[in-house]
Amino acid sequence: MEGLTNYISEDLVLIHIDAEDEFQCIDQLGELLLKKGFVKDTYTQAVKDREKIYPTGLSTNGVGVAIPHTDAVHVNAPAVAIGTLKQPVLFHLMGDDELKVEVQLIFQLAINDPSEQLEMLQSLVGLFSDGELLKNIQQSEDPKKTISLIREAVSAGQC
Amino acid sequence: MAKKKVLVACGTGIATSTVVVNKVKESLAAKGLDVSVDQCKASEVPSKAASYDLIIATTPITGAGDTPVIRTLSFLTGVGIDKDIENIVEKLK
Repeated sequence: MEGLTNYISEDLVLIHIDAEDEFQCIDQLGELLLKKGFVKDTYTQAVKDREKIYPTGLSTNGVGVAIPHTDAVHVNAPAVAIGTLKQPVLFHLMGDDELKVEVQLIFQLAINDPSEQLEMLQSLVGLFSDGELLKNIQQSEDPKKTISLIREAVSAGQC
Repeated sequence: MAKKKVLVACGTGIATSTVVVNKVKESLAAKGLDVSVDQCKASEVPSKAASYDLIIATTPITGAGDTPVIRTLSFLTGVGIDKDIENIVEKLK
């Protein structure tokens, strides 16, 4: 199962983003996806709007993660932009109006066909249950290493 | 006994619901439970709830009526998933 590995690449990785809040993170990753042509210019605002209503922070056994995304109409081609943070940024917890989670790892999704990209989503979620792996990804200072950590985990069938 | 029906409700049905549906199916099959699992948006719960035995939601939902609701993120994060599965199996008995 290749899943996630088809949708990630070194040039869609931002190491140790400097951001004050979740929206600045979404801006930076959105800009990257836009520059590479994966999304339309409406994408970033749409992700931020959705995040306010349906937040995507998730608390795991390792590093807090978030999976900001939006509707297919804003997406040209599917991809996953990865952002890591040195200092955690607070995201609202998915499905919760009050609780927040300290996020240090962001997978910003450009999805244009959820059923087509199910394997990708499943292997992404598979990563979340491996706390050690999440920590290693968060600490990587080289996009190459970030990607190879994920590729190894996926090909080892963990995810 | 009629096959039990589970409804998975998520925010907008873009990313998480499909993953949760598959995970729920897999987990219950592993427990030997043959259930049908459908997905919907949180806003569709009031019109659908009555025809299901259980609702699993990753987001706050209203209008579930008498249908029991389990709210959990464990199918996404793995945290507490075993307990949730036990809980689901119990509720479907």
